[in-house]
Amino acid sequence: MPFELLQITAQYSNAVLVAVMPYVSDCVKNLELPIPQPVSISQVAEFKCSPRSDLFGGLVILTNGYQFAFLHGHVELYRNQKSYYFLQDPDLIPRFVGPVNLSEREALEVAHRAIKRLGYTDAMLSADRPADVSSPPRSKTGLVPRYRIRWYDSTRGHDPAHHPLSIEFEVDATSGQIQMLKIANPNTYRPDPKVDVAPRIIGHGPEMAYRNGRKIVPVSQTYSNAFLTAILPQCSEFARIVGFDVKQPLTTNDVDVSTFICGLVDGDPMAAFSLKNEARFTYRHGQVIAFYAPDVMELPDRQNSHDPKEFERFQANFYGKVNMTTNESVALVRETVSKLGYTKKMLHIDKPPGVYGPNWWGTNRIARSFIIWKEPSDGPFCVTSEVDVANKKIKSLYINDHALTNIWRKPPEIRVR
Amino acid sequence: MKSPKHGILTAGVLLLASVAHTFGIEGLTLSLQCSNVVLSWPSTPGQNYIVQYRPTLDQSTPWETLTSSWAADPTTNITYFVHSNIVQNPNCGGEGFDMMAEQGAASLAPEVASESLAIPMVMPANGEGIAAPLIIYPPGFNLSGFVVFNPSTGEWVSGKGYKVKSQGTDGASPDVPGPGGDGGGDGGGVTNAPAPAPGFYEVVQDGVRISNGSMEALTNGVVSNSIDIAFEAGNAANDGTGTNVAGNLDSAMLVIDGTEYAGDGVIEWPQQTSPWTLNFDSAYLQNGSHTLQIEVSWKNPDSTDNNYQYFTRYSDPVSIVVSNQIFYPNWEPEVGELGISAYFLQTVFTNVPWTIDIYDVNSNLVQTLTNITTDGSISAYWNMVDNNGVTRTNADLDPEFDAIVTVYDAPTTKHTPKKKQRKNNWPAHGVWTVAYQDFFKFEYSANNLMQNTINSYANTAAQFGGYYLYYPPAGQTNDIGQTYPMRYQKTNHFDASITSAALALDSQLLESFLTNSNSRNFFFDGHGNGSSLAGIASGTLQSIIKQRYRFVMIDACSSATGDVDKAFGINGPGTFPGTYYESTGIRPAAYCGYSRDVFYAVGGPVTHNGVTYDDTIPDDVPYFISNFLFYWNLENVGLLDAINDGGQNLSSVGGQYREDYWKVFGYNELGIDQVNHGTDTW
Repeated sequence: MPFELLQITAQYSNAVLVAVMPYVSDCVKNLELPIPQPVSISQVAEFKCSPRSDLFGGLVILTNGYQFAFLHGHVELYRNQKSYYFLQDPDLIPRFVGPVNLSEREALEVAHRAIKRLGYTDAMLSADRPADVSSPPRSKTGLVPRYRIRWYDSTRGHDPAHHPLSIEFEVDATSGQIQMLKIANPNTYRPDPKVDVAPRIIGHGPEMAYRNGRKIVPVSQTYSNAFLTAILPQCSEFARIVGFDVKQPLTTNDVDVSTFICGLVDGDPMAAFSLKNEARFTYRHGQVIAFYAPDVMELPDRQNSHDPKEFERFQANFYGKVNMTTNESVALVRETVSKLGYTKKMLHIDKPPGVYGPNWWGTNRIARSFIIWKEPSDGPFCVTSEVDVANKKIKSLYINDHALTNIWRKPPEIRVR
Repeated sequence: MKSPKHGILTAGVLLLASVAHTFGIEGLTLSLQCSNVVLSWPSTPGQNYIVQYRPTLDQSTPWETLTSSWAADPTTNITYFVHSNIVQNPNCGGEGFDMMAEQGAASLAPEVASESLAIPMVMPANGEGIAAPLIIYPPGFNLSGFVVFNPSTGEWVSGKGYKVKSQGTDGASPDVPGPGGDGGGDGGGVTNAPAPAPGFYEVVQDGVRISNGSMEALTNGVVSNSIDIAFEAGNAANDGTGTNVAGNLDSAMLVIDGTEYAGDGVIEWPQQTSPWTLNFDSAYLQNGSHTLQIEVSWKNPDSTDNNYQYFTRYSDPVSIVVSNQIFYPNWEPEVGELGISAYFLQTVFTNVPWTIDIYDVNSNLVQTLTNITTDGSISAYWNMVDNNGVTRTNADLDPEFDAIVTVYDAPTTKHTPKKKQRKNNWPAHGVWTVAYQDFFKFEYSANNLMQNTINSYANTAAQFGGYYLYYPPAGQTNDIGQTYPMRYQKTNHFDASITSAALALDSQLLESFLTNSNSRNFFFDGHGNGSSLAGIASGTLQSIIKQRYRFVMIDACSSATGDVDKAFGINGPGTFPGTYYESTGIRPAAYCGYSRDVFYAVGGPVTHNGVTYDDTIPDDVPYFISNFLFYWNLENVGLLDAINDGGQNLSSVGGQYREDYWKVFGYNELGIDQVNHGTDTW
């Protein structure tokens, strides 16, 4: 769901601050930071409250310069002015130079102990795997006694060679204090605390008004019903050719009428509808120009969830074994459009397409390939298709009739108004 | 002189000329067979060639493309092309007249020409180049600097003060110019030879081809020091129509190991000279094996076609082995704003003394640095104080410095690249230029999130120094250009009100913002590539932007693949820790761009509120920008962290997780307002 921008009133900001302070205090305690506890609001120098409806929290800055970012239901970032890796003024680097009293092993022990005290396990943060440790860096004036320790999340990410950050520590090699902590792993997300102040929404974008799309001129109910009846045989045939397993032939009873749109665009009768099984068709210029199976991964204008759990649950629907090569995927699309009556030249698909996927998510394969023919540079799409490379099926096919006007066919003639 | 690459045909006589606008295949040969002209050239099976023809050298005469996809003969290394029935008054009974289009033409001396020809000829007065028929020069062409052969007298005379006259109504050759210029000559000494029918041919390989000589220099043993790499380039059928042929390249650059070459191996302007060459200083590379390519871009001749502003092609990759005794893969091209000039070099020698002699623009030795390297690395810092105790930080007086490094015992010396010193005029608070192209006006964006997100960028900039942008207020009638948005022509939704003039105004306005010395941050969302953004070539930006930028984010295709970063003084592709900026005195700065073309929309029609849209911008696209700004601002994390955080939990767009393609050059831990003040030090 799109987020909304909130008006940050003093009342709302204070309410959020009150809600997050116990978490800050816990964090101070668990990281064994040299701050009197419990940490109270009187110790807060500044609070930058999040203005986004989907990201509750903010940045707490204490009078001693310690900073805590509360987001996703927990403190996910802590640092202080002794954090070398968040140093904003390199002029101050000489002040950081000092003796290295901790070995790398000892610094790792500090990090592991903190993970446990914070209530997490090494496993949930991939900290049971080897850490990426940066030794104390050398500056112009000497060694900076800081270990930077990072663990990466092997269960996520699109590149098996470069997983996303899971957790990061900066350990002071002189004192053993943690000077910076960043927790990025969604496994640590917790529910947001509740506040009883309802913020005013200021950034709610207007629903997209007519801007520069193509206006659909309405037609009568009689016309649209007749048009649907007339085009369904073509839709049936299209479904058969693309390998969509659906009862044949399609009838008006199969159509989810609540989704049915019919009208004239630039004088051309068009229709868009979904079947009751959620397969989607768009018909323009005398042909089906877009089809999306119910289990398509990328559906235009689908509102994808950005909640990590829902996001991963959705992606998991497409995990599978890759049973097709890229060339086989491309060939499947080309053969299919050929069966639909197009030549490769007509659709500009005689050239090599862009092929994206199957992607990775952690150690899983997202068994979908996206075959895209597009005019060069910033030109329009010609043909795009999503292929299920586990089951060797086309899940979507779009032929851009506005870029390829040579494919226009005569729509069925409707003798009603 | 080498490699004229045109064939010139006059009736009954075939000649070759060295002219301004030449490019094409090496070894092109022309011959006559009755009324046909036969072209042949050395070729490589599998390649395609463009063959073009025009009757004069006047550049206002367009080339006629005879073919844009003439396949090389797959069975041999010579390819033939016949231009049929082009010769007027053919001599079908006689033998054809052959002449090689390369060295033979280059050595054609005036006396030879005067014996062979009964037509006026022209050649450069300095003796460089070859003679060409006067007829090929357009009316009004100033002949100063040339000598002209008068066939009636058999003498060569100076062309100083002469211009070519207009052609006679009978289409005969132009007169030999008479005194007075402006076509006012008396025509004295004009030949009565039959009217010639000149023609010019060029054959260009479709794509980019490094010349044989350069290939030999690159691959025959190890590469050391600098070499010029000559290449030819042509572009056919790259717009999907099969007809476009772009001749004059707009820019060319070297690509080493798949990324931008760190040196100045860039041709930045429309070039018409031949052969095209790029200077390759191999000392910018580590010794060892590398892959080299040439990337060439052409400006689309159709300036109204915003969707295809540039065409880009690459040469085949060439494997090279580099070896230099002194080299500088970590070269810092700038003098630090804090009054430090840092020199980072390497040598293959160890435990040797070295010196760096630094010279000003007047070639005066201003300082010598010296030390001993134990491991071959040389790091030296000049405090900008010269031998006379004068601090040399006035960029007006010392815009750059030269240096020669000497490693003793070997001994060996090396002239280093120049170091540029910019004016020290950082504003009290660096301003942000925020611009976008109206590229998404036909795509559906739920809740108008794409537009709102770009607005949020401007609003964020307002908190940290303010912004430069311009949108015309309602009712404004005089068009002074706009940057918010810059107008954009969509191929499938042609808008007659978006004229070339309007687009030019927008570019000019953006350039004026970017060149304002207060502008030190730049966000752009729109179309681009490795060598341009919003249709403005990186070379143009590089020449007009005098100040260095702190932060640049180009949300456009392949914006991290070329030299756009250099236009803003942020020299990629390296990244550096804070200690680097501390030691060099250079203000920390970062450039962000995409490492490839990325989709901002998914194809497929959607319908909302009685309107149908061609494509949809998934909210993952604007979400990234919003998330990035959120983390960069609210958490005040470093730039790279903000990018990584911003990309979390976003779905693919056309199978691309586009956030993965962001590249950061420079200081990847830059904070949102870090070192953005004139008073900042680092």
